[in-house]
Amino acid sequence: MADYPSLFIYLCLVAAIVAVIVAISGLLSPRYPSPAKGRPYECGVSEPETTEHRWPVRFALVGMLFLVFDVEALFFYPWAVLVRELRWNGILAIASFFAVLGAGYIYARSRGALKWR
Amino acid sequence: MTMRTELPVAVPHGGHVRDANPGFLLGKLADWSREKSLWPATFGLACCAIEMMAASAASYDIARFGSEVFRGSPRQADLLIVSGRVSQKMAPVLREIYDQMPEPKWVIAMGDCASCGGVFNNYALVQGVDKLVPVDVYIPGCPPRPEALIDGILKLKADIGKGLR
Amino acid sequence: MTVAPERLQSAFPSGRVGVSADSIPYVLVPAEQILDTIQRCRDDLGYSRWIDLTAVDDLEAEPRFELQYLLYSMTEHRWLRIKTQTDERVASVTEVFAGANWYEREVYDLFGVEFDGHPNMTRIMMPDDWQGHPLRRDYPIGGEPVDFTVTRDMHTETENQDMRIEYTNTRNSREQRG
Repeated sequence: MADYPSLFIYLCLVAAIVAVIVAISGLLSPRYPSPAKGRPYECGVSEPETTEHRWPVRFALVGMLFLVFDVEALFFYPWAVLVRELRWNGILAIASFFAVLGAGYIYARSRGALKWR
Repeated sequence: MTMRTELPVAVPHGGHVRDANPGFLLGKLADWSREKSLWPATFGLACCAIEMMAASAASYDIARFGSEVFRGSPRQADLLIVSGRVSQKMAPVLREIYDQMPEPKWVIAMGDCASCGGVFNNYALVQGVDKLVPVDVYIPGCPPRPEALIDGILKLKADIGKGLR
Repeated sequence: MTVAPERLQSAFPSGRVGVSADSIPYVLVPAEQILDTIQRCRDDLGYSRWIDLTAVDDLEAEPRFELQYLLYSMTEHRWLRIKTQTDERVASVTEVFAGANWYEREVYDLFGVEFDGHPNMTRIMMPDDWQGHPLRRDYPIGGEPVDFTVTRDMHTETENQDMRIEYTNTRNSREQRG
């Protein structure tokens, strides 16, 4: 809350220094655009290859499971911030939320969805 | 894979080809700073790469000469040390990496295989990388000792500092 | 460890059995039977591990190329070499041994022998648009002609006279091979 003017000066100095450095290297550097420089860096093999290969469906399965449980973890955050105000009702609600998703987790685990091989 | 670029004829290369004319002092500053921080790109292919790694390791440390890091991306590198055999299949890859380096850039052909094909005069190898990219310094040896590589790098740096390359 | 040639001969009545210089027994079979032979080696004789496939080019021989398959038995710890001769093409054994895939591509790339039934009969070592098959005997050795020759002479003293030996050491080049 205290020293906003100093912060502002600092930010202006940062911007100025960056601008000077970029300007000097822009002035001093030769410019020879070529098609190779526009291509993405792919370790020297920039010819586009077809991506329509078959790949194991386990990747998609793990991705979907991750998404579900990651969003579940996301929902924990707002509850955790307000845990004191929500009191026992809040704990009950989050416990039921956790139980539903936990049942899903147990089901996935028992069906072998988390085994890679 | 076929080679899609032409052979090195009239290719802008090195620091002595400038389009912006920065003036004497700034030009000297540019030469000095390019010499003092010459960052190689990782292009170790074969046995010479072992000696190049030794040259960048603790005993022979080329970081004390400015080559602090080997940049993984050619877009951030100044120097291409071609260390090792270049096979026919690797040739377009080498050319592409060289093309993706921004100017000013320099090339060192380290070892006999990169300079002239070495002991392998056969169907599999390109007989010298100067068939693919313009080379500034050739370092003979099979493999050259780290001291020889450092000698080549220092010779290149001296020329860069004088604005000759 | 060698296995008795008589047992091999009885297993392959139409093949010629012998022992190679590295003490590995071999069976020479006609090219049409190679797929059945390899399958029998794997299923009946217990040579379940694929090791190697290579080829030898003998310009004067009819047929020209001799393919050599090397198999290993994990239970008996024995090697077996199956040889076959062909001029141009032979059946692919990738259905029997999946590991033969790249070896057959290598033989195709370097010798020009095609394998019928191979899932991906393309070059593996040389660039895709390379002309020629480099390991054939009539393919020139040198990548570049070498301009210099070296002449060495040596003096040796025998009982009777000084013998002066002079020989010229030249690198093989495209012009010399003709």
